[in-house]
Amino acid sequence: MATGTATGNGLIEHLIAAQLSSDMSDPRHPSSEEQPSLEKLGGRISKARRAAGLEPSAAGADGMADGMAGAGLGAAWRISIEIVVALVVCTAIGWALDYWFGTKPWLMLLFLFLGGAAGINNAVRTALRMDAQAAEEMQRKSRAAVKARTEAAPGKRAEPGKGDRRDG
Amino acid sequence: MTAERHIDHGSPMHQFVIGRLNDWQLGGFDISFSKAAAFMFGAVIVATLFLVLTTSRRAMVPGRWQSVAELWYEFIADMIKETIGGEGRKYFPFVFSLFSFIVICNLLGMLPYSYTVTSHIAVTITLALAVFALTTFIGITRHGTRFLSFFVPKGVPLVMLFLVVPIEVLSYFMRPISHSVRLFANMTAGHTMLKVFGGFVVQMGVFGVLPFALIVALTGLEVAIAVLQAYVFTILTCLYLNDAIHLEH
Repeated sequence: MATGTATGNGLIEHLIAAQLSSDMSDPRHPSSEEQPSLEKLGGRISKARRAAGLEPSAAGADGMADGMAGAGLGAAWRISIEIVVALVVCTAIGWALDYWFGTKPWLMLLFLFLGGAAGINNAVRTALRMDAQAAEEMQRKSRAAVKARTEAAPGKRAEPGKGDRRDG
Repeated sequence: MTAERHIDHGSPMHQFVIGRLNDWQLGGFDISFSKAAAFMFGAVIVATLFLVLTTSRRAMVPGRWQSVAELWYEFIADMIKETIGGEGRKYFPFVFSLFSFIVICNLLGMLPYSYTVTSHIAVTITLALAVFALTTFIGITRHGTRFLSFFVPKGVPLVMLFLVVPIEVLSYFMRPISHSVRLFANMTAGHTMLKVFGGFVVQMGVFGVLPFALIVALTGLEVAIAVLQAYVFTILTCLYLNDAIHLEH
């Protein structure tokens, strides 16, 4: 068993060594072209992104504000429709029940209030959820921004006014 | 059926008429292949072809088109990971198909002379009811009778439960309706607005430049709304799935 793993490790090491040497000797070799280590690639991508200003560093706060203005309309729609639909549909249900049982207008009134409550219930729940999500998003972004800043520029501070608006 | 033919060609609502491409009857039912059905098939074909063709090379370093497909995939994968967590991976194919179908339907509707399938409540409520049925099924199979505790909020006095439980139940059954009306109303309102302003351009002659400029801006807004509403529909699906899986509000 012990020898088995030892030879196994040896084989892997041998393969890695072969891979590395082929990388060194022939850069245009198809295998080296296909399998540059993902870490190296990731490092190059993040470096390029940082150079292009795509990484959430100082620009993070601005991008966040833009995204929120766009999502504001969607959020308004999401909440208002919740209330309107519950109110209208429940009132219609009450009206139909009245029609069947001949109890006009009592069930409609009851369902009007129940529908309002259900609508507010759904709307509040949606709002709380969106709040929690936004808070989480913001936390993650500010963490990423801090990380990017400390990685990118250990010496100089990157635009103090903008990057520091973490809780805004 | 005949009523819809009376809608005037110049009316802003004329764009929503479901035209029949042929005339098939089966046992008294109208099973004609309609414009709506054609566009739904079209959306499925476009989405499938796009994803298959862009990812066919499977390059380690993606090109532009492959990047789009990968972004598309990761967008949904991240959404599921954030809203549901690891257990949501099982439902990725459903959520991804749903999002792809809606976003392609919405965007196909933005092409001139095309037809917006999602501007019909019949289509959106079918999708919403499918989500509703699936989430309810998951909730019941995973939790059995404990699923009913979903309608009984914790920490409510016994007397109040007589009021709170019916409200919770009603809220639950309102979900597929608000879910579908949101998408349908957005698409219908947007496309009607574009048509109304289009009418102004013709009527106002030279001054039609003003509404024309507005239309250009509105078209951009509509494209954004087409994507945004597909996103909203999908994220709500994820939230409902999360409720069913974790039984929490």
